[in-house]
Amino acid sequence: MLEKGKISPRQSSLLLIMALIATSILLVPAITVQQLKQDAWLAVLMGTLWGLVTLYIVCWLGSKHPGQNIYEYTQTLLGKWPGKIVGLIYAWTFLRIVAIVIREFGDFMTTSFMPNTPLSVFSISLIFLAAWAVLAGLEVLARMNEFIIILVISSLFFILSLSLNNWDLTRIQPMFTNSLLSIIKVSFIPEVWAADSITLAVIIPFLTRPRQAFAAGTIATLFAQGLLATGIIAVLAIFGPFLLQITRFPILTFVRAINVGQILSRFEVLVMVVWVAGVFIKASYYLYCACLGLAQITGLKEIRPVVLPLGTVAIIWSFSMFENIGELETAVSNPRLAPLLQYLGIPLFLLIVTWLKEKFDKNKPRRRRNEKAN
Amino acid sequence: MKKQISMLLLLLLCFSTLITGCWDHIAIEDLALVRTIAIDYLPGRRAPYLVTLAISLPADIAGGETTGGGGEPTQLFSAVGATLNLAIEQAALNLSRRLFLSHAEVILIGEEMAKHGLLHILDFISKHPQARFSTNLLITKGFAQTVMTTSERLEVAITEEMIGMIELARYSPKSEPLKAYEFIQKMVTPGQDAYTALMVKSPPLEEEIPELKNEQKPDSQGESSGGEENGDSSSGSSDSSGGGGSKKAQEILTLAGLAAFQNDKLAGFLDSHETRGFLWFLGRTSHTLLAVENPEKPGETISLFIARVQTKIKPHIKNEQISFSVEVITEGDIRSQTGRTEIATPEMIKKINSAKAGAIKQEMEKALHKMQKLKVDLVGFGTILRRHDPETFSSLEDRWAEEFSKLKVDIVVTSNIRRTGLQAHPARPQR
Repeated sequence: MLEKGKISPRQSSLLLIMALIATSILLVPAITVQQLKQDAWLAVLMGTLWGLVTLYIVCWLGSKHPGQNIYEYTQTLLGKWPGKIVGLIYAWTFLRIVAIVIREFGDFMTTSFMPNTPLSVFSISLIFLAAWAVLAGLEVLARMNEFIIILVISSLFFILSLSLNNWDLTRIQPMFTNSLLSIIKVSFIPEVWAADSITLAVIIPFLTRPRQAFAAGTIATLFAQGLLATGIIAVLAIFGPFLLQITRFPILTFVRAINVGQILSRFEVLVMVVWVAGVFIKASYYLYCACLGLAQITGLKEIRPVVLPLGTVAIIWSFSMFENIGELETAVSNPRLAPLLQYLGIPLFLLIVTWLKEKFDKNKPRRRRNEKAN
Repeated sequence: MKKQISMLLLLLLCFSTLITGCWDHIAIEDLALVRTIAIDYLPGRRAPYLVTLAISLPADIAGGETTGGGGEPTQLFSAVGATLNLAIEQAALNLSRRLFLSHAEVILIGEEMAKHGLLHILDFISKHPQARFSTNLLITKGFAQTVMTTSERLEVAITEEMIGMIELARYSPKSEPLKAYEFIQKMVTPGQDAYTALMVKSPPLEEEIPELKNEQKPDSQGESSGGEENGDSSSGSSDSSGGGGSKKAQEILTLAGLAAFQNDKLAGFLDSHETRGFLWFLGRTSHTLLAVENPEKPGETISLFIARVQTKIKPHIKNEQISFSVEVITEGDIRSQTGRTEIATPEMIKKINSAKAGAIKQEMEKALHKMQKLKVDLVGFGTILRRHDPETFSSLEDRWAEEFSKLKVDIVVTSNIRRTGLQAHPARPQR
């Protein structure tokens, strides 16, 4: 086993909340409002549904293959080499998310706070910290997150509650003007979709009580998406859908508009807290998933040798993936086929294979009994 | 040992990145805090944007000293440019410190600029990382630059004076200053036009009332004032500053009335009465005084105080014909009368109530008529229709301005006078 630490279901739930909320709170309001106007929050609720479907499949697979994560049971299910290829796809996906997250982080910091600072300063310092966290292991990451999440969630609640006196809920009317189809389409944008639950497929074996993975994941998904939907309703109730369309980071604009009695204003620093802390956890978490995957697929004894190389790859990838912010925006704001396959298609396929094997494999019951004996 | 040394070197390397500081670091003593930006448009020039920055010196504000030659707490810097950014960069050449826009709380926009359109200004505010989205937008009659040269009266700087007025505007329905994001929101919402408050510079009262002026003539000079009776344009300022030592009354700033916009271009002005008529539609007219004629004795005036207002606007669609009903419910007291009529009787209050309702309705209709003439839907009737019936509105969206200009609006005002103040009966002289 590459990972010696164990985390509790609660810690996994908190990790998942961070992974879900960290980038989406800044990007999703803009993306969804652009396409759905005042019905944007419906797409988030719809995305929750897909997220729960993914989560259920992942947890079911986890319970059928106890002690194994997605990199391992793909090999037992599909055979050694096809399994390794599927595992590589996932490691590649997770690394790509690290790269995108780093790029979003850097672009946000340079556009809104430090226009003269080069992008590489943010990317390199972030990945350096993330690699350090990954080397420390999953348990350390989860424990650190328990502390950081308090900062992030309380900042978000503080911001939301300060703005309450400016809310005008008539701005989210008329409701349900968009067709169901267009809402579903938007809900399949990877950022909107609560698809981060796929990472549970990697860490389920490291839970102290793997059976509770589904409950923990559900709580995390519902909480994170609920917070996101509340955030979208808040920005809609303050700015209305037509003003929101023109802003790049609605939550930041929203915070810039807070002014309670001429005294409580300029809370951008809280957005910065949410963003920096959240992105750090998300990048570390995904980098961990990618590194663990590569180490397991290549049969290494420990995770250490792949962390820094993969971190370097992520940095370079984050620079080369997008030329400018326009490309970044188009890439994250459109539904694409690849994520659909990775988050729903392949897990579903694995589920069917497991089910078929269980049905036709006569040796199965005996093997399971043996495992229990172990 | 070797490992420890290498760790130490690594740590030193890490710390060395810390001591260089951030790229965007700047000390506060090196900043020039811009408090107000005045923007004018000079048509026909290659660099049409005239920007005037009011920069306050933090030390002077803290010290509070206003005496001495260079003790002015606010300094003005002007420049022209082909875009706002260029003009500001040009103005920065006159500065010994780096410009910092985050504290600009007021943006004054000249009449010419407003007629040309605000798109560029709004774009500037929303794109610039330093500019505040919650900056107050004010429109001036004539040049915005001349408003900035007015000298402050109660506060330490002219910006503080304007901010104070904007704050107080919440308590009087004679104007309605909007923040930049509110303005943009109204501008981009279909079925809604934008507006913001009007800052007017006018000569003091003694120059407008001839009797007062004659009274003052012997002891002060006041000869230049004859030519600037209409005084809200540019000519006034140079005189007052040129007056120098002689004790000439200063020109005064007033925040009253609205500038109405169609899309991003100035369509016309609403005076302070029309503004209040318009604000009845939004239900934002509490804390105001309303004068009605005494229904018993014409010629006498009763002042009424409005404490609470509630407005409901509902669209009605009948055979493709759209109309709106506006219901206003007000509550308030009687403040004073110019005669000595017994007011506090139920019958009298009933009569005053109906007179008040009539006066409010008249005021609202006048404002509505003005808005329809300018074809600006400041109330957002279109938005209300859109919320009520999105399909009907989307078929009208393109020609909503036309549709609005002949819209039928039924106004029903209910007035409730609750109290008549501490005095039970009017004091009646013996004879």
